[in-house]
Amino acid sequence: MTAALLAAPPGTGLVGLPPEILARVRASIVRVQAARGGAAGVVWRPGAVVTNYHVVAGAGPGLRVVSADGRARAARVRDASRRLDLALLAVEGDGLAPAPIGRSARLRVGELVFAIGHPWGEPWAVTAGVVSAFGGAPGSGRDGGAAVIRSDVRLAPGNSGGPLVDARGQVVGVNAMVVGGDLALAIPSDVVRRWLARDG
Amino acid sequence: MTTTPEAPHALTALSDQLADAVEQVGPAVVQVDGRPRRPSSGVVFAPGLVLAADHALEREHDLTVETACGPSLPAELVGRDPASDLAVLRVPGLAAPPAREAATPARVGQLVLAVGRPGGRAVMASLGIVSAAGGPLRTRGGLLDRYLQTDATPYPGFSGGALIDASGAVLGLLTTGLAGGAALAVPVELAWRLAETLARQGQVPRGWLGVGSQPVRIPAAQRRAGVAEAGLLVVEVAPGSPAEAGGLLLGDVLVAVDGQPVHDPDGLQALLGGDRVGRTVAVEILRGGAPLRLAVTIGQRPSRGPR
Repeated sequence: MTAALLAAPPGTGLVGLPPEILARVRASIVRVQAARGGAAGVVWRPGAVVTNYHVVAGAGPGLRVVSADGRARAARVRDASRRLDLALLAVEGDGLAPAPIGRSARLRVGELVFAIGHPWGEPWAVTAGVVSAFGGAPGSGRDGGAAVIRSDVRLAPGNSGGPLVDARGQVVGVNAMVVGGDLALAIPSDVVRRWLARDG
Repeated sequence: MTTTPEAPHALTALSDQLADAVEQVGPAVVQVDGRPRRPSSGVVFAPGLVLAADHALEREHDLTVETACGPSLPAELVGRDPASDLAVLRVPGLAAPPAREAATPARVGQLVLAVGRPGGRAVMASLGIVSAAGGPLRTRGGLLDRYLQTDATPYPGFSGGALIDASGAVLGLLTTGLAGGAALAVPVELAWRLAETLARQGQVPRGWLGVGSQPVRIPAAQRRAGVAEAGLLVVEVAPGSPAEAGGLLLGDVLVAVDGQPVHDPDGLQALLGGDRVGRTVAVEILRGGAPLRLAVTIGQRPSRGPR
């Protein structure tokens, strides 16, 4: 444990992602600019960005994604699921590297996870926590068997649609909402994967 | 959609270790049903015995305990102590092994996990550090000698759960019921000791002197060698109390009990802890400016009875 703490690079907190891993996953995270403000998205495969349905609901033709290097690209909603709170954006132009996608089924309670997004507009900010539980949260409307990763990472408006990343730097979820101020909910990467497979 | 395997690094090792820690303590962390609709947590501290949070038991009968596997088991309330917010349940047929106690006390800044089981089958966890370690603490039900504070999120129903270190050993028993909803823990060595007392006697004896007092500065002219700058002015002596029997009078200034200086009422209360109950100790006072030593037999605080 001590070794890990010493290895934590300055500025990334107590238990930080190693800089080379952070740099790689950062390049695959975009800012999604819709009419009602900005949130985050994950480049899931070339030309395709996954974000939350609630981020792009009602978005008009002005939808854009901005990458970490500052480049803006036009985007359109290719598919969306209100039930899963997922949306798939088609992005014009190339040069967006897909994120390494992990298997959410392998997550364990207590393991480290990191949320990367733009909380309160802070660009590409990282917050750390652990997996708290799986399943729904009472009263969230997501219970009844819907798969959700619950964690104690700090989320704020602007984190929606951004990735939940494990200690290996792999995307294991898409951050969707906060319950009761301190319980973060993410859609498991396996759910996104299955949704995309059905989507074709 | 490619997933590139990453070379293991220190962070993945720590992450695996934290998940292992939760897995290790998990079977000893149980769900406790002692109030309507909002289960809380408990920790197995000895075979068949569970330590829970007193405030989360809103009834004394029809208590049940659930573990990771198997049906919910009926539990019997053995004893409760509002001062430390601890309660002991006896659970016949409970197969879960006792949790492992940390060998060394918690240190401020140490990485910890809060682990509870409000949801039945699966444990929940949150990450943080030990934010503070101190005491005595005036609590909802009395005085607690020592406490820990953490910034790990206390999810609803985490009271009675475990604050563990990165090896899965228990550092303290979590509760938000001690003071103002703060995420606190009773240090494990104290919690286990109180639990054993509760299991044996059904209550924790609290020492009782029977004085009302307030801190006063002692003028330099009245200070002899070895006498502190501050003491406690006796403003009330309860009728029939150990203080009355020992000869304490209104207007005396308490300066030491059993050789320990006293500066404030909480410090005095802390000195009257369980193991001094029934013992005759030296009480040093100033009476009319002159030092005097009385022998007082510490009594037991009259029980408040079940809430």
